[in-house]
Amino acid sequence: MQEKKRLLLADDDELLASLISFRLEKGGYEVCLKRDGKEVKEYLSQNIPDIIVTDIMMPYFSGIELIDFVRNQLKSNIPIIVISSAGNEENVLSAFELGANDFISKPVSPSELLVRVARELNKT
Amino acid sequence: MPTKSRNLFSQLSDIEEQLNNFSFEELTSEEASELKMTFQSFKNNLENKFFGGKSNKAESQATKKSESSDEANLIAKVSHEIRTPLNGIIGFTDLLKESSLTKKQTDHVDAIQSASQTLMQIINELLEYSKLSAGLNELTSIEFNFHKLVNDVSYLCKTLIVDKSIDFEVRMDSAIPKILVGDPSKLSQILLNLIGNSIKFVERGSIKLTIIQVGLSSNDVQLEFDVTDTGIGISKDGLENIFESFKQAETDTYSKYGGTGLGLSIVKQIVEKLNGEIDVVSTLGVGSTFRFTLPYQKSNNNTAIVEEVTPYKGQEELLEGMRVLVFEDNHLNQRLIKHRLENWKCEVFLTDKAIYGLNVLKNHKIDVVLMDLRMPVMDGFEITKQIRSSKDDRIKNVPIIALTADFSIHDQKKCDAHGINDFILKPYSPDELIHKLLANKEIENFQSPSNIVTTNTQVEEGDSIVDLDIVYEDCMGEMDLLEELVGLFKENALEFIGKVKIGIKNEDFVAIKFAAHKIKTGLKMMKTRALSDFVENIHKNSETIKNMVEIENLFNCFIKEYSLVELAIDVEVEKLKRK
Repeated sequence: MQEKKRLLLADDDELLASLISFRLEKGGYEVCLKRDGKEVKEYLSQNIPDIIVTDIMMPYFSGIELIDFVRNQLKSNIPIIVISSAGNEENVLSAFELGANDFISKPVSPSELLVRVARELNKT
Repeated sequence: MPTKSRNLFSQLSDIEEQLNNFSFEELTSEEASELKMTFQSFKNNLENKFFGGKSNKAESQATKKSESSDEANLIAKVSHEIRTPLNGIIGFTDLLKESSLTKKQTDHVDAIQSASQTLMQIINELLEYSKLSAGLNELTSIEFNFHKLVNDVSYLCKTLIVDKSIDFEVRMDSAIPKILVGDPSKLSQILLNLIGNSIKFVERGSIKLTIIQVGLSSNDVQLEFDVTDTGIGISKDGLENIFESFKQAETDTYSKYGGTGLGLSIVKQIVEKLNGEIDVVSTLGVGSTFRFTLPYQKSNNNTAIVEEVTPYKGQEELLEGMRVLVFEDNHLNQRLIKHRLENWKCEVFLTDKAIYGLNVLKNHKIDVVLMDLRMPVMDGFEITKQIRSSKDDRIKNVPIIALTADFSIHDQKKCDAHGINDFILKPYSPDELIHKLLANKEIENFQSPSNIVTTNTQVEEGDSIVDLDIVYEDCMGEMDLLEELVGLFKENALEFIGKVKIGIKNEDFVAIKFAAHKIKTGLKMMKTRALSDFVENIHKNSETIKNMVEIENLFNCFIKEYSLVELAIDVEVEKLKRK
């Protein structure tokens, strides 16, 4: 049996995060939920997940900084999907410039996110 | 210590004691500074009196006046504060009535409803009273058709006594000029208040309104009005302070008839503001006569510029089949207007709720909307705004006629700004109603005014204040998860409310911005469109526009709507559970 893919979900919005992690787990992923930049950094210093889904606005450490950290410090190419609030096109652009693979707008449809996550993982 | 200063000292120590028990945290900064000002002026006044010696009578009069107007301002503010949660209570009660209740529960809810409506009426009276005391209530001076006003008032009064065996009679000196210059809305307020008072206290018998000319010069005319009833009358003791605020004639008046004891005090203040006089004679058990005199200017304009309504007798048939949506909250008025419109073979839809009304607009081709501008839960301006921001052109452009007692509606700009096509002043006659209905029946392709302030509240098919279907689908039918999410949503909302409250107090735009950002997603998940729009606007106002007043307005709207949303969510969850 294939091992479950590990997914890091970084989002400080409890409501959205609970819903998404529930659906991703149902979809067969091992989800690790982190609520702020500090937790994310700690986790990444010990573990390398298969894919990262991150919100842009987070306490301590924004999603943009997270991408920068993963690509330029950890030198990792793991897929990163960014969750953006509507009207934050600028942030999405800088996320892509720094190496984000995909983005999805709030309010996030869990089913759509599942499809996007699977698509990114299939590419690798 | 001399008696006088001892009195003062004992009063001061009373105040001090009260202050010790007062929770100052509840004061807003505005209230606190007002308090400070009051104390300072008290201190200055005292100092001036004893050490300055400069204080003269006029000055102390002025201070006294400003103190009483401070007090009135405070009442005005407090009334407003009370009205907001009360609106919530009334809104909840309405919602509760729509759920399936047992007979007993329905009775209890009805009791809550009637009690809260009485409370609302009392608060409105209090507000009116405090506005008057603070001098906030401005008088207008315009030309108006005096005879017509009296007819309208008498018509309205007759509708109020249909259930009682009372004769109502008006006698008016026909020599009184038709067109006068003065404040017509204040006059109808006085008359309705006095006659309404009589109606309250007369079980059976008669009420008579007599109007005569008592003085006439080339420019002015002095009118005397008598309102005489065969009611319970007032005792000699009661007469002494009948016009005083919060006083009713007999100690058991309230328990029998209710009321604030403000009505007559309001009337007296208005009459005096209009440079008139009022008095009362009464015999216990026989009846009372309230007599007041008011000066009016004669109009130079002999050709009456005031809009004359020609009788539309026989034109009723033109109204046949017209579909009219009426927003009106007063049950008596509801009954009245429904009866009247149905007599003219119109199809009538009656409501006092925005959601219901908007649904009617969606599902029926409504020809004209009659909108009472003063309704407790959501006012007519707000509903008009929602109609005018509909995506559906047919709904957006429906003619809206305002029903109001506010004469400032004469201002065309005000109508335009609110998206109102036309207005009917209360009280109105059937002829006037026919006239306005016909005039607005044929309006096609009415363009809603461009300067109307619209919120982004879009009205769409199947619009409701909350929709849990999608999020429930995302939960894949797991009720536990849905309930957890709903719990989180409520927590988030409370956190938002708390943070914004503090943010407004501290003028902290950044804190408000973050709070707004944080709650956005949850609101979108729950599909609470109105709340989302308010928060979106709060976010915008805290980020770029930086308008704290607007933020406060939006925040108040949010709170009002949120209480309804929370209840609606619970109802939805229960519904989904039953499925």
